[in-house]
Amino acid sequence: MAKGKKGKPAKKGKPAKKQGSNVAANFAGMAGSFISRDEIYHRLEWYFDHSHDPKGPHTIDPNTPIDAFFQNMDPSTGRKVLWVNINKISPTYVPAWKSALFHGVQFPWLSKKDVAIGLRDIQSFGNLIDSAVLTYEHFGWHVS
Amino acid sequence: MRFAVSTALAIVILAPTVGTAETLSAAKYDKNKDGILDENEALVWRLHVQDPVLAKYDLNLNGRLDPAELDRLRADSAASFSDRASSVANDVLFFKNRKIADIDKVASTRPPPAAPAEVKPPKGGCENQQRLFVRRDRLDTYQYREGTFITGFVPKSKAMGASASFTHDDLDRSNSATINGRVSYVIAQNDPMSPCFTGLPDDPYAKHDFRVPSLFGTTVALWTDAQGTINSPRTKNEKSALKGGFDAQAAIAGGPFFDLQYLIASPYAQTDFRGEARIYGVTAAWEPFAPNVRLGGTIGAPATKYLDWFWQLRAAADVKRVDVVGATALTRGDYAWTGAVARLHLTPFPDRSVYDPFGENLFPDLVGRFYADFTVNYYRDFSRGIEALLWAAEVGFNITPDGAASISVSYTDGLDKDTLIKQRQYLVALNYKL
Repeated sequence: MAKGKKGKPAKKGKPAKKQGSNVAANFAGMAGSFISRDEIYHRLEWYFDHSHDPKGPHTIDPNTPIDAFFQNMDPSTGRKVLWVNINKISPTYVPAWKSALFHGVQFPWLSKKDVAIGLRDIQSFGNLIDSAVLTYEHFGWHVS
Repeated sequence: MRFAVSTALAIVILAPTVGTAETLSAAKYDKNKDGILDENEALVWRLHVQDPVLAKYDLNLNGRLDPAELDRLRADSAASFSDRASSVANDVLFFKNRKIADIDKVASTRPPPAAPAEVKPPKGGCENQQRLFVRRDRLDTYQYREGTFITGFVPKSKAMGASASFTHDDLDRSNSATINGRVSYVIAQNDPMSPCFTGLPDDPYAKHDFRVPSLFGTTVALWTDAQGTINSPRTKNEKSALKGGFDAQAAIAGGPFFDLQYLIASPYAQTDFRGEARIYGVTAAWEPFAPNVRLGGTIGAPATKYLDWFWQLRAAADVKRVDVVGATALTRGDYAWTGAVARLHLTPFPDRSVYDPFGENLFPDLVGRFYADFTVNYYRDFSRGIEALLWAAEVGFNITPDGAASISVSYTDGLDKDTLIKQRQYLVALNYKL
């Protein structure tokens, strides 16, 4: 990745339908081992809300408490379920994105200073984005 | 941690007018050391209290930033720009290219930023982890997670405490005592929420196959549970249950079908408050979670903007032997109940504000106000060859937006396995919860 290459919003194309849909919507972002924080942000938004349009603006406030995404689960159970669910989906190919949703990177459960922000410790959606950025970087991706 | 530090630095540098507490000592502003602040010294002290940036860089205490002090401020600002920019990167992406009016509307009501919070070990180390729980019932123990070492996860204030009451009626010459409580003592625990958990590798990115079920936390606890009333003189409707036993609980993470499963086995002995009943049994329960099929709850946005739903399933087996009935509604003999309870929860006009705070709700006054539950309990007693089917439907309206107060209408029909009493009843209720 050339230095200074900025992350771009996902390319224009048809809007996504549902995960697993055969519709060839083109949410494909940066190819290879390069990804932008912007695209990670969109992918996480799409993970929580499949009606999210990656071509449009970001719609989930980074300050949103992570507990707000767990319907009917106590926060502890919600975190465990999120940890497993997002890691199971990570390598799953999503036609709408024309790629695995999180390219198979594995989100951590525990935190390690400057290396990992564990899902056990995140407090907000913004923390989850930061966790994902560190995770991508750990797995060799260049995040711009 | 880096996030927290850089955020703090950003606040200090970018928000110089933020008020500070009146804790800035006046001692160092007494330049002539006479023990008194003269007018000039008091002026500088107050300026520094008012402006933390000035307080930090005005090293000669003259109340203004001299060229050398400004140079240091510029150097610090340049050096920390990268970290500070990184700390607000998500906010920049969220707010960019938005209309000013929309930004002001959302920004004025958004929650404050939160840094990742690493769990704290119990005071005095893991040996001092909370083991004794005195609560209202099994649900209030929250799988025996201590509320103190993880701020905000399971606050103790949310649990209901045990209660005991005593009534003496002077006219009736009767006494009555009611007890509702459960005392538990954790013998062994490996809770992955606890900093004392030892079941995970140090490397947070250690390879983990999430499609294969794996043990993710266990707890063994002794408990005694008292629920009921005892009267003197004894009345016909006196009912009480005094149980003692232990819970063996395991969480299973991952697997091809479910993301999380709880398995709970609870052998117990039961009597009543008079010590007359003699009942022994064991309950085994299974609670699965699969948010992709909205089982056990969901992660993410409502199913549609008009209706949201999820369902719950708890399968259980309850095997018990009743030797002496005592003050219970049971009959003598063996019970072997196997079955499940399933509940469908419907929420018309769900709240979508989390997923688009800039958007408009179709029916803002109806968001989160209505709900409907449909519950089916089905158990079969194989030893007696009897079935217990109990179903209930409830619709409700939340009087307050947070659902703390609601009014509901419910209909229940069927046989309750715990009492073996046939039910067919309507209930209009005013509900309140804290």
